Amino acid sequence: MIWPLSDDTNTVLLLCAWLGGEDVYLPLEIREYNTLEQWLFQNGYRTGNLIQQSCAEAAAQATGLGSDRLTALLSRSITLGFYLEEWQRKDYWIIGRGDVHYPERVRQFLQESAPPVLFGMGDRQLLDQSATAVIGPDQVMESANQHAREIAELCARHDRTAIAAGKQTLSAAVVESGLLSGGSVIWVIQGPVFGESLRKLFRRAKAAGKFLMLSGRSPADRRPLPQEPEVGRIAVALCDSVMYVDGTELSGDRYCVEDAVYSVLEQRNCFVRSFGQATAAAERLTHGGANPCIEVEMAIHEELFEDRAEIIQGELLEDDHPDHEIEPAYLEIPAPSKDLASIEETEEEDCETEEMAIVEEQAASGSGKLQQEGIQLDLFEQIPGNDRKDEEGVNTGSSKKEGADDSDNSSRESSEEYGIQGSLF
Amino acid sequence: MSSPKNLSTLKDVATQYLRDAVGRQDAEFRDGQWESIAQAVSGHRVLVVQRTGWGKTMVYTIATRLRREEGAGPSLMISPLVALMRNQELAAESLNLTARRMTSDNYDDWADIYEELESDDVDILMITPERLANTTFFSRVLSKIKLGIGMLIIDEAHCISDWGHDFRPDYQRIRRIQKLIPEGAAIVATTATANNRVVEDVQKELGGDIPVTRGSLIRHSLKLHNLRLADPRERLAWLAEWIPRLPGSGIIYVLTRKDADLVAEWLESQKIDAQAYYGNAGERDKLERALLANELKVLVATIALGMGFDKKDLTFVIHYQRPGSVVHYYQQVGRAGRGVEKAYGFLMWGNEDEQIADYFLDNAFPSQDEINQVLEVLEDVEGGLTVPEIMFQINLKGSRIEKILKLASLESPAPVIYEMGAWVATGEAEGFEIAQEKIERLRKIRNREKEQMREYMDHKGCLMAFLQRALDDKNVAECGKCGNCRKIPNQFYQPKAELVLEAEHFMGKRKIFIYPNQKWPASNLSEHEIHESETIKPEYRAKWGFVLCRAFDGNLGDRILRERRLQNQYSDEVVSAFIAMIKKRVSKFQFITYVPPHEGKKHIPLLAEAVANELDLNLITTASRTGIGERQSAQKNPVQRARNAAEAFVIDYSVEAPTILIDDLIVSGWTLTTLAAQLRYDGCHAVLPAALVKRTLSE
Repeated sequence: MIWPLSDDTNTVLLLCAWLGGEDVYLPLEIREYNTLEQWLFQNGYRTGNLIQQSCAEAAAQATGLGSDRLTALLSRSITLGFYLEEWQRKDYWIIGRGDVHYPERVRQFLQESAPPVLFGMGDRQLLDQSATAVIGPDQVMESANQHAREIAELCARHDRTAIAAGKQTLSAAVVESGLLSGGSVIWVIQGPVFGESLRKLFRRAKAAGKFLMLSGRSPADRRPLPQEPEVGRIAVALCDSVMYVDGTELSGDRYCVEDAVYSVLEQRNCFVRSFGQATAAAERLTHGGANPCIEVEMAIHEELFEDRAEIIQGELLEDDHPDHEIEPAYLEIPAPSKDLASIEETEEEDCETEEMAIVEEQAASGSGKLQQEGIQLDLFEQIPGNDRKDEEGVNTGSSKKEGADDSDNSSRESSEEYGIQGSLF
Repeated sequence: MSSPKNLSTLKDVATQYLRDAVGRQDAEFRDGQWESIAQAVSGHRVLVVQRTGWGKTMVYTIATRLRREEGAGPSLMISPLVALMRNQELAAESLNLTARRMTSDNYDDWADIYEELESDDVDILMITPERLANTTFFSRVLSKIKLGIGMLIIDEAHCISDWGHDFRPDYQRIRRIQKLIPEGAAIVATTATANNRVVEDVQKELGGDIPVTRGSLIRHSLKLHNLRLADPRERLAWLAEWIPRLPGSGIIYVLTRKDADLVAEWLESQKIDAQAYYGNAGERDKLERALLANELKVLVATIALGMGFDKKDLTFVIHYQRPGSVVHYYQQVGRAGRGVEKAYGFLMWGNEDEQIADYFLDNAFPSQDEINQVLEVLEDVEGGLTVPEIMFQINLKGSRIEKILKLASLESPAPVIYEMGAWVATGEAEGFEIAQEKIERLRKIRNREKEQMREYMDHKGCLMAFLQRALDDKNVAECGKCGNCRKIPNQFYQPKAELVLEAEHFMGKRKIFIYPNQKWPASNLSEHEIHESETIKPEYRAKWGFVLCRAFDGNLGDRILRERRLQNQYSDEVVSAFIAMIKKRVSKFQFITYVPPHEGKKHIPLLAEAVANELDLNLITTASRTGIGERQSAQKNPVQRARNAAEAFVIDYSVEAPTILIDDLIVSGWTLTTLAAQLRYDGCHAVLPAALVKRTLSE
């Protein structure tokens, strides 16, 4: 239950949300809010307690935030009421950092720099599903866009959410391709998302529970992009793996995507795909531990994925072998090369372990095609230690396989249903 | 938030403000006034249920002043009553406050108001609830208020309740807004008319423990009378006879614009200074001022003359037709007698009332099927559609489509939204269902209100006591002044017979014009060149035409409709009346033609023939029906009607000389407009339309 908001979230909004007309008293910056939150915690208060004048005055004094400023911000409650109703009517949901609904990954990964409030639209369950962020700089070549589209398609095929960040052509490619393929997409942007949600493709996908838009900024906040927008950081926080699609040296990076990816190199499976000469950004990421992805033959991979699905289905139908458990997350296993397929045929029980070993070995040696397969594997692998993976794994035996079929069907149906639209922007 | 000690000091300050405002140094607060102010000043919510004139305005203006002095932002007042806002501006001035209103009649002032808001020079900003739907409210108003809104004033707060007698869709938003406002905000909700059920409902919505200030609703100066005069001629005669005898000035409430014109014209013909009140806001404002200055004896108004109209010395309110409910009646009749010792309220009703009431009831809410039609059209497009564009695609009235969009856009989450000048479907549109149980409940409430109004009309006891009971007033007492308390026999109200005859004659001879349309309702209605632009080229337009009478006038109009339905041709009396009208009003036309009838019908050709014979005109059959299209009466909106008419006729024989074009029934006028344009396109120099009877779309 998001609406009505909790007292705590209401108070955070009063303190931190831009509602217009803020040139007298500025809403709190994250670090200011953190200071305040820390003081409240240390003194046994909740954020909602600030509505009490005595609490607000004490907090203002202790934190040095200024009593006038806090009082002025907290007195915006009627104005806030008008905005909340408008946002509710537009089907936004709002989650404060203290809410149980706040995405745990954002909270854990961004910690103190996690936005105090998230504004979103769409099915929040998508936030808890396995996801791949397909992100990059402001401008990329068409071949890079095409690559992003293919990754988004692949995500759809594998029942994995694609995450796009910011408003660049690359994001447009990811969002459109993901949705038109019948997949789920999370789009993290900086600012109001409502206008975007009205596009026919998006509103239908949203209605179908396949599309979620997310922002750390109030929809009333019309300020230009800040120096360090949190869009990229939220995107990488929400995902299991990252595909950084490289641009050129002149691409620009207003969403600080490169830094965001760099900051998760140790926690996420990160890949870098360059087209032509790798940029300094790509070099930095690969030197930091991201896997370079030289050439991915998407078509071949797709074909192999389908083959593998058919093999396993066929086995299930023809031979109800009690020992033949479908690997829980088989669709997240990479499309095997012919070599891998032969290993699988001969050493079926250990195939996943074997594959993993080979992939790891190849990845470590940094060589050739198997490395690419490994990329394929890890891109669709969930991050280690994530409980969600286990939960999904328990349930994914046959349902995953059905999911794969459904995914393909829904992909076709969705494309027809949504209709192919013009460009994203 | 003010402490009790501060409040004690503040009361003294507030009392002085009151005294300065009313200009009397011995003035004291009425019971409940200061208590309500204190609630607001302390950042709490309060509901004030008091009759008009009690001093609700003083509560929120003084509270605003006190809060502003403590550094709070301006108050925002939401009221459906534009007329009242003008009075509020004056009331605020008396407390040295600056009140500004943003309404549809003062667009020119808005830019200044934005600047004043930005520089914190506005103390009370007044808006209508409909303003909330405008995106500029957020971008240009809320965002300009630097300190945030200091206090919210919800006028006519009974509209928050579904059980209220006023269903104003936009109040749904206010209900949600006040629920979403965090604690510690000052909210003053006021209403003059609410029964127990509504008060409890509003109280619950605003927060269960909200204090309520409630007083008696009786107006001692008012003498109520019920007049049983069903025939419009009798009612007109009574007005002509009695209005000159009534002291001061007053208001006559009618249900339709058509009746406002009829009554005003009749009274003017009787040398009574009367004006019809409706139309554009500027014109209404002028008329209100004229009445306030006693330059008019009577204003004949639809409910457009709202509750906010405040004239202390208004001495009478007459209802030409019955209002929708007892509460509406109380509100409207309560305009009289605020500042005078004697005032009068006369209630009349006619045979047409039931039909009008049923029409309003039937059309109050759209059906799910109608909603689906609109949403499906919107869902199918990228970027949204305007209402005329929707009208092009579906056969629903424009007003119906607007109502559907309005109701749907107020849902939360909304299936449609008005964005960048067009209506756009949202992700909620698919499978959207309006809450039928709520509509059914509202329908039942309206029916019950209608029943209660009938009970009031038949009531034999004290009329004021009946109204008080209906509003759950605790202090019910017989007034001893109303027609029933004084046992005035019905014969006393009967008008003079000669005036009744005169009224009948007046109704028969009123001119009814056919205004030539200047624009098609949409572009590209057909391939024909007359439709090549949305504006009808002057060379294709008809001349001003004439209609013999109106439908449902209790006289010839009823008879023509009956004959049209039941007979093969019109009676001699109808034909003679029509010929007389043409003879009197049309000259220099030597040719006459007619709208081709539907198969098997001969009323119109026979009528044209009779006119041609009698007036020695050349009768020409110029056009025939193509057989394409449907009956015009099945078309629900102007686009569909004009498009249907555009396909319906073909000109077989062109005529150059000026020609009279006749039809028997005119409703929207698109048939005559289209045929006239086609005739003119084929070379006719002038086309003058004439018809037997005019019926409005709602009839």
